[in-house]
Amino acid sequence: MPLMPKRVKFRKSQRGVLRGFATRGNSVAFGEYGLQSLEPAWLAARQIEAGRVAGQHFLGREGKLWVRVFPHKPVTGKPAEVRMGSGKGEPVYWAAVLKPGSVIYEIGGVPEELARTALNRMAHKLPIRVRLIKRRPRL
Amino acid sequence: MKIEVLKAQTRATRGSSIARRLRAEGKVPGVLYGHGQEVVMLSLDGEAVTHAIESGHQLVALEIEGKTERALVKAAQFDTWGAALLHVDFARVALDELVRVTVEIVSHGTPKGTLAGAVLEQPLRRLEIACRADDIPESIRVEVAEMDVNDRIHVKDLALPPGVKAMADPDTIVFLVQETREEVAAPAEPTEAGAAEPEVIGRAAKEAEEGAEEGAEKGKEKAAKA
Repeated sequence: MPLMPKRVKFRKSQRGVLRGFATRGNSVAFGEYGLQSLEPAWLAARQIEAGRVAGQHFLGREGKLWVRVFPHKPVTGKPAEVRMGSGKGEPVYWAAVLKPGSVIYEIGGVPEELARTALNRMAHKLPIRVRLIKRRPRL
Repeated sequence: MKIEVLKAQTRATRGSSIARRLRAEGKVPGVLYGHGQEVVMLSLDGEAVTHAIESGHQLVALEIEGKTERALVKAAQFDTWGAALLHVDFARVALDELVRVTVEIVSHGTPKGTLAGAVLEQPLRRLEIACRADDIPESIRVEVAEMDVNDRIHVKDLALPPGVKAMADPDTIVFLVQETREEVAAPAEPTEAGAAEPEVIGRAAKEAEEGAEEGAEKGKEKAAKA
């Protein structure tokens, strides 16, 4: 089941603009390897879930996988063959708003080769360019 | 821990545009403060300081215009991609001074339990310690080879070097060998994408109010007809 908020204050939201780079959530915090976005995007809940399933299926019971993004944004749309106007469409899916640099997934507790392959499989499920990053020593 | 020597120059100018120009020249802006002395703004060689920080050095000797000052790396700012060092904070320190720093906890060996399909987890990766500035360990190495399934290593079990005291709660778990749960098959998705919607805060109360008002109005109408 794709991720979705449990409670919201409003059913629909405005689109907003996606400017700049991720200044938070841009480094590996839980695992040892991560997948970092290189482009701005609205990542749909089903895409996040597809990546997670691909990674978890490959890892089996080894290691641990973290999803670092959550789809907070309702995306609305109008049905096919409907004339324009008559108000805003109904919510169609939920999306996570990603700035370049956001870490999407993290993997820990597995050798680098395994983590690299898993993250590569997960990257193929995403609609954006991503790169693999490692945990760095922090002060 | 080895003390890394870094050459630095003082700078009189400040501000983002000056910092940007410094970075373009391959330098990194920094600041030195502490011990009740004046704050000194520095510019350091980018490559040297990045190498020192990447290799986990916390204690450095700053050579500023012929004078040497010992300092702790208090903070380092990186850009979004973690590639370029933007700014470094140094705090003056005496070698015999008691300092609080965080060091990495590193596992060594393969736990016995992982052979049975369990996974070694490390909820605590960095430990805050108190020690003399010249006694700061590079990392805390923990032997995990003897750990079986459901074994745990707490902060109180860590073998710390002499003169080093852990500041974290002694019962905090550092390592545990845990069996992973199998993923439960997700229930079938609703056919319509918008079929499952989250609860809207305040809507239920509003609808109940509206319902009550409508009921009252209908009651009045009935009474008027009668």
